[in-house]
Amino acid sequence: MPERVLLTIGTRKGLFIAEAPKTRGTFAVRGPFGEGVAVYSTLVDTRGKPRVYASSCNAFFGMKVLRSTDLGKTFHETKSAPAFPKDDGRALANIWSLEPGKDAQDLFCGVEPASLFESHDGGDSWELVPGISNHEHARKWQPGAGGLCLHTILREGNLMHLGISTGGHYLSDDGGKRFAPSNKGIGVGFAPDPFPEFGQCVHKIAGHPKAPGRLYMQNHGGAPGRPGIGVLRSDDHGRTWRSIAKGLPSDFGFPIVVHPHDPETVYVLPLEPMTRTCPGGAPAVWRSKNGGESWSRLARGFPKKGAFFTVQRDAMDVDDLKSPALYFGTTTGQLWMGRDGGEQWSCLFDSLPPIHNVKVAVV
Amino acid sequence: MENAPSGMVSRTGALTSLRRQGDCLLAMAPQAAVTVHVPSALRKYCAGAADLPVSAATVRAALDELERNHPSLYVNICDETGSVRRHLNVFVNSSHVRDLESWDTALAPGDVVTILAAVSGG
Repeated sequence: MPERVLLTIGTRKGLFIAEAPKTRGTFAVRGPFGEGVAVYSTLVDTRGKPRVYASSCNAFFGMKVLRSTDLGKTFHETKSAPAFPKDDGRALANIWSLEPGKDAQDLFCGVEPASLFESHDGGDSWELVPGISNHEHARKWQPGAGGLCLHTILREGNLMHLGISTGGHYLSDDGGKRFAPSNKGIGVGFAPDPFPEFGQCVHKIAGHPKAPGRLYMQNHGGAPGRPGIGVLRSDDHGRTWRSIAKGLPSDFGFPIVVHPHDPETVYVLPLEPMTRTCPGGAPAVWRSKNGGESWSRLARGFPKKGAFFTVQRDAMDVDDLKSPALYFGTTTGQLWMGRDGGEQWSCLFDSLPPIHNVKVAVV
Repeated sequence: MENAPSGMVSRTGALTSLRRQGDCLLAMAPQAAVTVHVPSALRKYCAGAADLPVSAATVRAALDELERNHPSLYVNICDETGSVRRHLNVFVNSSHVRDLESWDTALAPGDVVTILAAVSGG
């Protein structure tokens, strides 16, 4: 079967799958799977025979993990979902991230309340990762408006980066056994101390396999009197961070995405901080080709006014074709694609349920 | 709120207390042959059964029996702390347990314990 572009679209009403030839000419959509239930995280696991995973965050009956072994034509619940030990006192409220682990059957899962789980059998059984879940800071983290979530899991050799809102960036240098806060240079706008040891409202962290040590962060910006804390970069594996927000119309936003073939090229989607919507009602993705030193506006194909949507932290991704396309989903149910690295945008679907999550893979 | 059903307001400490009381009641009260009526959305977790026979002296004891004999079904009804999930309601015959003795509500032979999901909006 020829390679195809596969999009997983997690929405408030279930999971949709969109598929197109590599030309990306026409996308066909199917679903919803896990109908009626919110999906906050998806994963197209291309290690070996591709598997598609999705969280199914059921407010009535609890959390499930869905798995497909036929490229998203059918989904079945895994044998179990992450769960806290009975004597822990916490109960799972949401599943925010699913990421591949070290070996082919290994998965990590970030949840709310902020904790990390690991599976060694493709999601059928899960174990709490105590180094972060029972960290001495864990009971001091505060939920943001979206809930107290562990939303970013980035592996870089034996290093593991976690993003917690609001907990900040935590770093392990022993493969995930022990974690320490690593927030030097990451500011907050909602506490008296502008640079606390932990407690930052990190929105998303992104890296690139060809640029070890380089990380980009979309942090909770938009703070009056504390400009530039929202978009950051690290060149030392997340040990220190500095602002790269100069030139953006707003340092508030949720997703941050790195070009698949160029670690210097990074994309953000600035939002107006009070409403979390497109500044002036005119959507735009902003791109830097020099690691955040300068930015340019990409808006060809977007409405020029009257568009007040939000793009959530995991609702933007980029494919890895030769000339990659970006994709993002909106809280108003639109799915946009930006060809040629975001130069030309078109709306693939305009009436899906509110979108929480978009991931893409060429399979 | 000590006697409020945790399905309405989650209170782990209160529930632990209720469980202890329930254990005492369980030790004292005779087991009753009752039926647990399963909502249609959850029947796939108990081989399609709409009704499950249970021997239990209280509502909590009935849930405990579900945990032992139908663990896949149970995790849909109760979270890891043992609290009935927030948007589920539990009735004994036609009465909500919040209007009875919460999870300590005594069960009599022939009672029907119905688990229902709350109504949802858009």
